[in-house]
Amino acid sequence: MPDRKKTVVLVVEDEPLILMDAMQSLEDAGFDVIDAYDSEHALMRLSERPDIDAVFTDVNMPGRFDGVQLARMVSERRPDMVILVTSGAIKVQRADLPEGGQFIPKPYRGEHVARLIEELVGAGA
Amino acid sequence: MTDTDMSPLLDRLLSWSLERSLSAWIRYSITTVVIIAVGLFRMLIVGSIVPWLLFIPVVLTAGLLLGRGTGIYATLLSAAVAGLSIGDPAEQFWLTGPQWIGTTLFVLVVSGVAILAAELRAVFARAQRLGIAKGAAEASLNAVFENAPVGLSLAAASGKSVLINEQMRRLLGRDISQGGIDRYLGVNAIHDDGSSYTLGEYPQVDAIRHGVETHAAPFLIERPDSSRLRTEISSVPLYGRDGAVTGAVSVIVDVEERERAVDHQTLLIGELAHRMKNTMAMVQAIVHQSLRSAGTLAEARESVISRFEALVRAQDLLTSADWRLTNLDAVVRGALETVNGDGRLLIAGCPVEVGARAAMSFTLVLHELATNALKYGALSIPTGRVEVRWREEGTETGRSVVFTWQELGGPVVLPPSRKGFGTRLIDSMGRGFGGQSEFQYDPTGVRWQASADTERLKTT
Repeated sequence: MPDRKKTVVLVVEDEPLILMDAMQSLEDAGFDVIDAYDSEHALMRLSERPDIDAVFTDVNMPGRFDGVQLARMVSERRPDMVILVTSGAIKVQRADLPEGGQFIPKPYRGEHVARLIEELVGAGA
Repeated sequence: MTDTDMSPLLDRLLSWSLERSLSAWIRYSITTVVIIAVGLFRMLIVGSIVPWLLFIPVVLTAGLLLGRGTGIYATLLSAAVAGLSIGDPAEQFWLTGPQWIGTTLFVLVVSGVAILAAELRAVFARAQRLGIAKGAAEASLNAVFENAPVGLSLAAASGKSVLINEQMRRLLGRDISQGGIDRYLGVNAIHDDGSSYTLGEYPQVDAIRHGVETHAAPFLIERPDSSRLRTEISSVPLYGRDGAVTGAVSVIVDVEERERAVDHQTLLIGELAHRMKNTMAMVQAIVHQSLRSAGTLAEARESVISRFEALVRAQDLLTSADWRLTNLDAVVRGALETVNGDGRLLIAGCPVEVGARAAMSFTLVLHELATNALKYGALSIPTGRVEVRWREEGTETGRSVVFTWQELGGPVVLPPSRKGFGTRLIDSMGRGFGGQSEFQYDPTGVRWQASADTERLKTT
């Protein structure tokens, strides 16, 4: 019996420690994790890996686009993509996020994020 | 008693006499001379009729211009001179009985006149003093009005301007002293959305028309040069005796600076909250990771505590730099402060500025590297040493910093079977700052090299 394909999550976060911790938690939850340190890097990863099922991104990042803009751009390219946005600074309004996007404030529990992604990917499948 | 009721000549004479305050003997001398002259004149020209009549104006004038004492003296002297001139040496008491009665009556009545004249003089003097005081008070009030550091204006019930100070003109950027109540539209106050106030919305107009009092209400003014000034306005109606509104007083205070300070503070607080949340997230990651990789609770406690301490040291460094940019050299030395090098630690690099994120991340990474070096690497034996170096390089996309941690002369270190907190963090580090990270277990010693974009390193 072949293994069920692992859900692939792209984590976009510029702070190394937080990035590392997020990746660790998602790996522990059984996901396959890919990292990106800003929006442009994230878009690059998305073109490299068409098998990405979910994107978990921070809002405040250096570079041309912030997390909310990234979420919108990803949603345009891949309307089925599960998008989870997080931030310590801004409470992002539902209206700012694309259809199907969700917000989770920092600091977050890794397990909580994992469960949320699990649910959203499951719901879409 | 106002100036318009008195003849200007009398006014001037009285003022002059009050000002000059002649000495007593001059006053009495002048009086004496005049009375004697009048006496002589009367004797030579007028003859024996109306003996005392001509002296009355003299007494009056003396009392008015020279004071009560002189007035009474003039009365007595006049009586004496008159008596002398109408007397008869043949009479037993120089004057006849009726003449004595006449003299007495003269003295009594004309003294009263002299006193009255002197009182008039005193009244004039008091009125003059009052006028001077009032003038001085007005001058002080004027000075206050003109120089007050707030805009002041006084309007009549018709809406016309009575007084406007210079500061008001400066705040408004224009002169609105001309015209009736419509002139307030010239103030050009606007709401937050940019729409102009209608005439009725102006507090000054509200005060005049409806007796409404406004106290320190926010008032945004758009000036002729299109600049917007945040002010606070207070408008208070003035009432006459009959309770009707006779005008209004308005004060406008420039609060632009205060509001900017408040805006700035709000911004800083927002930034602070953001930083704190990020720090919390980092602390959470440290605890989470430390607990995962520790074998025993004691190990966990030790690793959490020492990582916290490293983070706190980095934060202290940042606080001393106002959480702006700090020197990489200071960060590295701070992170490796507790490592007892004994000269086995070499730190050398070019001046590089880093922001809060890089400072904290570098600190944690160096802490891991140092801890491992002490436990298993070059710093675990006396002959081992560590060289920490960094330099700047140009790349196609910009400039980057190449950072190297090289252990030398230590025991051979084997790569662990599982990736620990340190190695994972190091991997993330490199990528987090838009560069690369390479960790090698060379036989010569552990080596970590990372490159990061110089601009990325400056992010907070």
